[in-house]
Amino acid sequence: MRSSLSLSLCALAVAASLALAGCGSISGTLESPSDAIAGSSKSIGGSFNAISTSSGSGGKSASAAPNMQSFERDLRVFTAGFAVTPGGSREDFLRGVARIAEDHGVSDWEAEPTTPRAIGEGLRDAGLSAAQMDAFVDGIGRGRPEAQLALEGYRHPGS
Amino acid sequence: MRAFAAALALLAGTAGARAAELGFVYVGPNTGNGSGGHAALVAAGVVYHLQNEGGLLLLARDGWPEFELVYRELENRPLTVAHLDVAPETVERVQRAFARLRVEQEIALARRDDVREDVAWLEAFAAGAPTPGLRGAGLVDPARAGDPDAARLRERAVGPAPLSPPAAELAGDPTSLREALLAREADRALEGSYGLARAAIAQLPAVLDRPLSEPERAGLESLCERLEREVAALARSARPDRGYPMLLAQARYLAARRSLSSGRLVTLDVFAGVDPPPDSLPEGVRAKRRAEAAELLRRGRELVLAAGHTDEADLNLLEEAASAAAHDGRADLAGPLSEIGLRKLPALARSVDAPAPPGDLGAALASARARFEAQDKQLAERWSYALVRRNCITELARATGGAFGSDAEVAAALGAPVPRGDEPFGFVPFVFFERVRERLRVAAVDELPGRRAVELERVLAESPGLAARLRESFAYGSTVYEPKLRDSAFLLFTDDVFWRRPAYGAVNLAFGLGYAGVGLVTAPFDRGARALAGLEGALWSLPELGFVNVRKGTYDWQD
Repeated sequence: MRSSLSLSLCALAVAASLALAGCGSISGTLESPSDAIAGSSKSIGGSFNAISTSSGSGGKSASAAPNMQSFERDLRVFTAGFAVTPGGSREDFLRGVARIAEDHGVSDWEAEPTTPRAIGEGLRDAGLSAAQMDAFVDGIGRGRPEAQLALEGYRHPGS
Repeated sequence: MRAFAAALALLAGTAGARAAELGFVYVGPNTGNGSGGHAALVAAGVVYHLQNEGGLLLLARDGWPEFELVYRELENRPLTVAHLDVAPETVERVQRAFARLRVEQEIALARRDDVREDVAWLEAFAAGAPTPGLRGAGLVDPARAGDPDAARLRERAVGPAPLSPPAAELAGDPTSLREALLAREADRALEGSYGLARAAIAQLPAVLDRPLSEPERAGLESLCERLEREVAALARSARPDRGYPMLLAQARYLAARRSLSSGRLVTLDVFAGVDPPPDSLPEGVRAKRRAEAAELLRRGRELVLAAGHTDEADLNLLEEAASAAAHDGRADLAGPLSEIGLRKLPALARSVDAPAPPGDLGAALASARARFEAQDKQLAERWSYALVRRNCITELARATGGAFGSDAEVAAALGAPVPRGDEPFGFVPFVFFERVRERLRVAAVDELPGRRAVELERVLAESPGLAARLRESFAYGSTVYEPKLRDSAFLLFTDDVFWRRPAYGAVNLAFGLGYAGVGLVTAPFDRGARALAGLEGALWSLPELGFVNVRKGTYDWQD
């Protein structure tokens, strides 16, 4: 009964407002211009809170700041998708990494330990065999820290 | 306002904690773009929802606090959160599915941006005009070559030997050309010790320009050491797009050194070069945003500089706070919100000498234009907004369900398959949410009333009685709401009544039409604003005649 009433009410609402409804943007089509400023300020403030409660970047997933967790997740899925899609060039991959990093406030992603770790995780998701991963790590230079981080990501991906 | 904040905090104490897991959110309707309602998914404190941005349905990721602030407090829309009983790995799995969507969209948009820039460059070459500015090249100024701080950076980062010439040739496709030019500019800036460009600096108001503390000085020294290492590494990097991060690192180093020598904070302006949209807000809102930006800057200095958290992402947050403070508190200049700050990197552009690529420019330009059209078409085919077929609900359902390999898997994880957008009325937010509640493994449901409802409850608790209730039911008599033209002209609130709603709606309809009539008289003076508000008021009264409330009024961001 409750459900059918809800449905009919909803249908009426839709009929009344169909032309104007439409997944409006939180930032682009706000009812008040002050909404965007308020939301943006809150967003920066929330990120400062995250700094004060996290152990910073570069650590294991569980202890990293939310921003770095998000970066790691994004880069992981990008790497996995790129690895199984034929036709992508080295430049395409690097530009993709740069775009994702900038989306998280990072321009120098080579200096960010999360980067190789996430790439290692993504390669595992893409189904790279242990032997292929070994070859990848040898290609980077097994003794280099980024190679070890990639291997760590491959062997122990975040949950 | 304080009472509202306190009430909100009490609610947030329960809802916020649960929002750390997985749940669906239904956002009640209001006038304007939210008239059909909205829905979102919240996972580990991040809200995922799809929004119509210029005709494309794009995924937004907002932090729960800012989502709640904008939708519930300012837009005065009630939120209902259905918390799902799920395992932690399910939360991660769903988040990864939304990350895939976000990345797919980001990369597709980036490709289109690149081709758009290719077209602009080729048009400039064909016309013999200066090429568009190179992103980040304007952070340093060739006219200030020989800067002592820049010379120090060069000495520390590179040593006395000259830099090797850029390996990349200044040819090839326009994107590669831009990358090579930026690498060349970064090397030139380092070799020639270019100083910081004046326009790249955030100009803080005098009242916020307080001296550096000792911990802040220590944080800046540590930042300089890190940037010296990074500039050295970037100068030798094989990364084709190393130019921009290298220029940015140089500029940040120069800003930090200037801070240390002047004893005052100098940061890069993330909004430099951004054309600000018109600022039509009342002074009350401006004062609030100035105060907010000042507080953000204070906290940023404390948490980033003084505490030594000067990793690039954290430093970027401080730059954002300082830039907002330098621009009269306007933190909205960066564009869309994000769950992780604005994430706007300093990137002031500058045009540089660039050789035209070899070959037939006309053919290259035609090819670039064709590629741009193809990219645009591809984006539209994949993500264009369509009210019934592809909206915030259909894609939310698709992305959530797509986190799992099969219906059996999703049923095991969530209790049942996610309701699909192509079911009857499945594209309607309210219907979708009802199906979520009925079918999925819902552990609890939180009803979070909009701002007016919270404030009304407080007022009626303080002054119970018919007189107060009657006063507050009138838009023009209420002590917790101020009528605004953008809310449309109406007389009576109908969101907190049901059986009286059609009668109230009839009154509102008559009021709206009357208001529109008065608006015709005042049209020469207000450009028809009142007439339009009256007509909209009449329109939003129609659903009320059928027991449906859409209009609730909105609030500004001020006390």
